[in-house]
Amino acid sequence: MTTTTATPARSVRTATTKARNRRRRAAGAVGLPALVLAISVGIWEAAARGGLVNEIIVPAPSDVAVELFGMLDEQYFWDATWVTLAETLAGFGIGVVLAWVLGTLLGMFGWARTAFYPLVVGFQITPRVALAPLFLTWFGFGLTSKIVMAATICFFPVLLNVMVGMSGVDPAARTLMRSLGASRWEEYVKLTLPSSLPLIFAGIKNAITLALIGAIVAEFVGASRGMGVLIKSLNFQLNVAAGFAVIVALMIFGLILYWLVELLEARIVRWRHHAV
Amino acid sequence: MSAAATLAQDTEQGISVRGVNKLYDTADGGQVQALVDVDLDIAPGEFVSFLGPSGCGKSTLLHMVAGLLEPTEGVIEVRGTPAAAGRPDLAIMLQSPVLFPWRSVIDNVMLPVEILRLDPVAARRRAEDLLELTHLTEFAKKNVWELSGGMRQRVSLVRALVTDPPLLLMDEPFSALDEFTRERLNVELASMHDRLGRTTLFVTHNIAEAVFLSDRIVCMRPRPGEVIDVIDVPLPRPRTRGLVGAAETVALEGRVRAAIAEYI
Ligand SMILES: Nc1ncnc2c1ncn2[C@@H]1O[C@H](COP(=O)(O)OP(=O)(O)OP(=O)(O)O)[C@@H](O)[C@H]1O
Ligand SMILES: [Mg+2]
Repeated sequence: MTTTTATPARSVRTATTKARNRRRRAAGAVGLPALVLAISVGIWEAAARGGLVNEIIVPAPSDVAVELFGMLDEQYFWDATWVTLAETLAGFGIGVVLAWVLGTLLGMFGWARTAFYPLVVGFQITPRVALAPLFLTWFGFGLTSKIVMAATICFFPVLLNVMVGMSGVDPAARTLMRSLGASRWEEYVKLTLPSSLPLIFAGIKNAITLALIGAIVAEFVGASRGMGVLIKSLNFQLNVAAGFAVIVALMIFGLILYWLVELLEARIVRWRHHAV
Repeated sequence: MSAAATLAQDTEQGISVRGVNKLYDTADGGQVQALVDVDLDIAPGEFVSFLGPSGCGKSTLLHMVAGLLEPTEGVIEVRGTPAAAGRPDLAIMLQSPVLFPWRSVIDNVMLPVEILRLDPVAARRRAEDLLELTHLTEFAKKNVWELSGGMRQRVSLVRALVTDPPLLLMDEPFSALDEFTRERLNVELASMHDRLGRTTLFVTHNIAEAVFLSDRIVCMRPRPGEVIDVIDVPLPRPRTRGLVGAAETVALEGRVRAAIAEYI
């Protein structure tokens, strides 16, 4: 759009400089973190190999990598992965949907917000993983207790952000909707919901990482399958390198999940970096 | 003279403000008198400006006419019915542009059409004409964060006009515009008014603007907000660019300035 009025020669030049700048920035965005990662892994490797740390307690990154690639061919690894991811995603979905619905209802009615807000904040600051043993006795050894834990742990941040987002709507925008005679529903759909989406997504991004934490902690507390179980049993066998490999796999899965949510956010909340 | 004069008697169809007082509750538990004893009759097709320093209750009065605020005392009738929000025959352009960043420029403009359930095809055509008039055609599909402050104000103006309302309330519509655009849009607004004869209430701080556009100017002062004078503007219609800076215009500007200066 900006180049339409420029002469062809100039627009070509600005296009190439733009492309070059973009490439340079992209190289920085990927290259710099990669460099930092490479150096830290290098130091760690040297420390382990040089006997600075006990290799049984802190294995060298190369050993961890070997273990990880070995695991990729093992059925038990993928079984555990599948179980943990299923718990995480089910808990995440249930937690987010419930929080969204309840948060919207609470946010819609001033008295409900006033009545429940302290309770919500109270739960939000309680370490919810402390509930894991309780859930185990209530829901048993299977997937249910893990799903409930994951849902509980990601419920409150989303609930809180939905409520805060709804109360943060520009009063002048409300006045505009009122001047047009918008119904409650129209005001919600056309103003309140879109205007609180950036905050809701911040809560959801928080929730996806929390859901993974919830699932793993619940597995630690009592389970027969899953990546948490795998980490525990590998540690018992003093196979620390393999334990680390599972943790690295968890990190990668967590990153992928987070990145998927971010992708969704970027598609829906296109205005998030632009205050108007 | 225009249709405004012949219809002037027909206050039933215009706006009447009777004995209106407005008290606001303040955050510290007190009250502030925003308006005292306002009485006003506005005829259909009349262009009335509200002029006065900051805080004299201009926005408050406009919001009450639009049904967005209740008077503490008194009655406001709009075309024979009590002031109420959500009527399709009235549009208010608020002091801040309030555009939704999740909508493109054209979709922001179409918002009133959606909510008031007006014919989208006719409205769309009108929206395109109005964007043309405000030099925004090539920005119709843009995101609102790509617009300057003055452009946002113009989009807000187009959104107010898209429903083709017989009653138009404008709260400092051109305050963020540069002098050149402001003058051009004033000329456009005047010619639109001469053509369409919308009843218009226009809030401004700008004396020249008020004189050029109005049939009458309501002069106000703050603390407490009250009407100090209502000045007729006997400039001929149609109002064209030639009137800007003409001797009679300047003389009237002087009169208005003197009327307000007396109280401030
Ligand atoms: N919501 C409110 N609560 C309390 N006081 C208010 C409120 N809105 C306005 N006021 C007070 O009422 C008075 C009139 O305000 P108003 O916004 O109508 O003035 P205005 O003439 O439009 O000013 P400006 O030219 O600055 O827009 C001011 O003293 C203001 O402080
Ligand atoms: Mg104002």
